[in-house]
Amino acid sequence: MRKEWKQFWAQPQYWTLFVAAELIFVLVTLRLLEGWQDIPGMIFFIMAFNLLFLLYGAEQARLETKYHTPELVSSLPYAARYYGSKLLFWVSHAALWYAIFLGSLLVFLKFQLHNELSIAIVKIVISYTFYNWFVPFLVSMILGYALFTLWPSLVTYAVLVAVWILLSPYNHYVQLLPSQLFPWLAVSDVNFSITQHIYVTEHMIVNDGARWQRGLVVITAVAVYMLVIPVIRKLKVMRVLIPLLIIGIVLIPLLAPNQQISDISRGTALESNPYQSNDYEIEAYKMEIRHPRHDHAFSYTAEVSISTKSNEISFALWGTIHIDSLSWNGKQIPYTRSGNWVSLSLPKGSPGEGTLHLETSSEAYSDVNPTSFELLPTLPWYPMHPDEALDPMGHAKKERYEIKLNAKGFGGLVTNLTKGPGGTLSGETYGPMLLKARYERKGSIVRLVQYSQRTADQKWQSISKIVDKLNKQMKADVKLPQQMYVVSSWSLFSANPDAIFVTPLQISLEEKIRQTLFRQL
Amino acid sequence: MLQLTGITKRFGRREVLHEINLSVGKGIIGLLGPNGAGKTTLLRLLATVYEPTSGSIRLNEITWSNQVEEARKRIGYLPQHVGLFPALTSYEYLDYIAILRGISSGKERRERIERVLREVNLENQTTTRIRRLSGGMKQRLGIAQAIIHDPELLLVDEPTAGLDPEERLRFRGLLRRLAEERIVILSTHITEDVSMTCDRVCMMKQGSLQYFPSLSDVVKLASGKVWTVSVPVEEYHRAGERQGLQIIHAAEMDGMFRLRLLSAEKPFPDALPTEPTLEEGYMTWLKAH
Repeated sequence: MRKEWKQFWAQPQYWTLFVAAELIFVLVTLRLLEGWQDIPGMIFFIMAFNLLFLLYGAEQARLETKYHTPELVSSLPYAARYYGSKLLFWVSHAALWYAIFLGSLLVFLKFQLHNELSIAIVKIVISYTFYNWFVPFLVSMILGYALFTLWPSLVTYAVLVAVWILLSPYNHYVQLLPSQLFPWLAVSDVNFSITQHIYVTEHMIVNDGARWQRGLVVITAVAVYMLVIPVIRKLKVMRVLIPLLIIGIVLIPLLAPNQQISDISRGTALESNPYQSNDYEIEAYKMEIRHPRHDHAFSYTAEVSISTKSNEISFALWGTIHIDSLSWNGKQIPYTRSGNWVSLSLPKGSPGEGTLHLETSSEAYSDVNPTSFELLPTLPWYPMHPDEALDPMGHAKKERYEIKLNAKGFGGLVTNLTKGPGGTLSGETYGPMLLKARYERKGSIVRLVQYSQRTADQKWQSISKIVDKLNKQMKADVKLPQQMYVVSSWSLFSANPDAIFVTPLQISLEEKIRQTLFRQL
Repeated sequence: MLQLTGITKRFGRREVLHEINLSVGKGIIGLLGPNGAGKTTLLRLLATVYEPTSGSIRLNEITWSNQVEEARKRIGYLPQHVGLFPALTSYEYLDYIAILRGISSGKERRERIERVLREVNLENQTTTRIRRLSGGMKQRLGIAQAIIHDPELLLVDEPTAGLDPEERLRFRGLLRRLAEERIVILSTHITEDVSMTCDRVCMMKQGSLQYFPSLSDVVKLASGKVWTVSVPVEEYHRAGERQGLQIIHAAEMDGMFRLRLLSAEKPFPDALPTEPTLEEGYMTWLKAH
C-alpha cells in the first residue's frame, strides 16, 4: 500500500485535483451551511466527488493498461497481494479525503457557526457522513477501476457516467428505473428531503436499511473487482467465495429492510366520539410492544383491566392501527370502528371487572420510524379512555402500566415509567410515554437533538408568555406542566398534567394552548 | 528441464497454438517467428499469464496446472511491454516487485536489488524515476525485475525492439551471461538476436512450433538455395517479379546490382552458390510451412 501512496504523491496531476476539490469544498460549500442539520443538503457536492473518485479509479486502470502492468503482475507469485494492497490503498485514500472533509466540517461548525456539538451530535455526523460520503467514495473508486479494467475504452467513460447516475439520488429524480430499485441503488441519503422537516427523529440517522444497502454495494463492488482481475478470479478460494457473494447480493435486497422511509399522510385530530359509551374506568395496562425497525411499523398486545357499569364501551384508537384480535375475558367479541373510535358490546352479564385483550399492528403510524418512535401519552396509539383521549389535560387519570418493550436501544429510551431488566417498564402515570430517538435534556426541557437548544428555549418562553397572557385575560390560574418535550410528533402540541409535547414547527401556538390547557374549543 | 507436452491454446473458436511439444535444458533458446506466429501466447502460457487449453507444462518437478504459485517463484518474465510504475524510482520498483515475489526480508531485498542493478548496469540510476529512464534502461530494469529472485526459467519477449545498436549488443551479452545458470527463452522476430545469442532455436508459424537443437540445422535448410550474382538494373527489376525468387540483399556498384538471392533453382546462368545464413534458413523454413 505504501508503494501505491508513493505513486499517488509522485503524480501531481491527481493529488492537485483532489486538493483543489477539497479547497473548493471547504471555501465554498461550507459557507452555505447554517448548522449541522444542513449536512444532507451537500448531496450535489458529494455527487461531484463521487464522480471524481469514479474517474480516478478508471484513470488508475487506464494507466495500468498503458504501462502493461497487469501482464507482469499476473506472472508474480504474490500477484493477489498487489490487488489486495490496491484495495487497501483505496480504503485509505477514500478515508484520507473523507477525514479532511469531516475535520474541516466539524471545525467550521464548531468555530465558525458556533454549533453546540455534543458527543451525540458528533456521533450522528460521523455515522451519517461515513455511510453517505466515505462509502460512496470507496465504491466509486473500486467500480471505476473494475469497469475500466473490464472494458478499457473511451466508451467506458459514458458507462461510468451512467453508473454514477444510477448510484446517485439523481436516478430517483429522472425515474429511469422502477422506484422499487432506487433505494437499493442509491448510495446516499434517500430520505433527507422528508426527514429535514417531517420525520425529524430520523434526520441524519442511518437506519438498518441504509446499512444493508451500503453493505450490499460494497460487497457488489468488491465482487466485481475480484471477478474482473483474472489473477484473483482464478484463486481456488474464489470458487467458494464468489457463489457466496452472489448469494449475498441476491438475498440482501430480498430479505433486508429498505432504507427508504415512506412519506405517509400524517394523522388528523381526534374527532368527537360517535359512540358516547364511556361509563367505565381503566385500572391498568399490561402491554408488549414490538418495534420491527422498518418504516412506520409497530405492533403490540395489550391487556386492559377495566371496571364497567355498562355493556357498551368505547375507546379511542387511531384508525391507522389495525386490530388483529379483540377479546373480553378470553372470549372474542364483535366490535365496530368509526374513524379513530372503537365500540364494543360486552357479553350480557359482563358488567363488573374484566380484561380487554387486544392485538394490534400498524404499518402506517407516522410517529414510528425505522430507528425511532415517539409514543406520546396524550395520543390514542393505545386504547385510551374517551374522556382522557379528548382532553388529556382536564380528564387525566393515572393508570398502572407494565410494559415489555421489544426495541433496539432500550437504554436510550426516554420514558415516564421505571425501567426494569429485559426491556420492562412499569409505573403509574397518565399514559405511557415512550420516546426512542436522540434527545438531550437541559433543566425542564427535553429536546430532540435535531432541534437546537435555542429553538427549544424560545418555544418554552413563547408558551410561558401565552399562558401568562391568557391567565390574565381569563383570570385563570393554569399552571404549565413541569416538563416540556420538543418532539417531532405530528400532533404538534399536546399536554397532560405532567408534560407538554410540542414541535418547533410554525403553528398557531395560542390557539393550541387555549384548546389544550384552557380547554377552550 | 522444461517440458511442454501437447500444449494447445484456444481463444474462443480460434486455436492459436497447436499441439506443442518441447523439452529443453539450461542455456538460451531462441523462439523465432513472424508476427502473429504465437510466440507471445506461448511465452504468456509459460509465464502463467494464460492457462493452456490442453497439455501440460513442467519445470523439473513443478507442474503449472497444480502448482502455479510455485511455478511463478521459478519464473522470471520480461514481457514485450515491460510492466513498470513510472512514478516510482528504479529501486522502489524493484523493491515492490521483490515483495510481490515473496522476498519478505528487507535486508535480502536490498542486497538483491543492488546486485541486479549492478548486473544490468543501472547502479547509478537507483533513485531515478522510471519515467526519466531511456528505452534501453527500461528494458534493463525489466530484466532486473525478472532475475531478482534467481529464476530457473527466464522468459524474454522481443527485448531488443526499440533499442539502439549499442544497447542491443549490451543486452545480448547480458542474456548470454544469464543463460549460464538457467533456461532462457528469447522470443524475437529478429534473426540477428538469435544468431548472436542462442545455441538452439524454436521456429514458430501460425501456432505450430519446430525445435532445432542447433542453429546450423536451420542454416542447412537454405543450403544450395542461396546465390550471389551481379546484374544490370533492368535485370534487377525483373528479378523482383520472378516467382520462386527472393532478393535477400541488393547493393548498387558501378551501374550494376550485386544481389544475394534465395531460390531453389539457379536463378541466373552466372549466379554462384554461397553459404547461407540463419536468416536465409529461417526464410526457407517459413516458405516451406
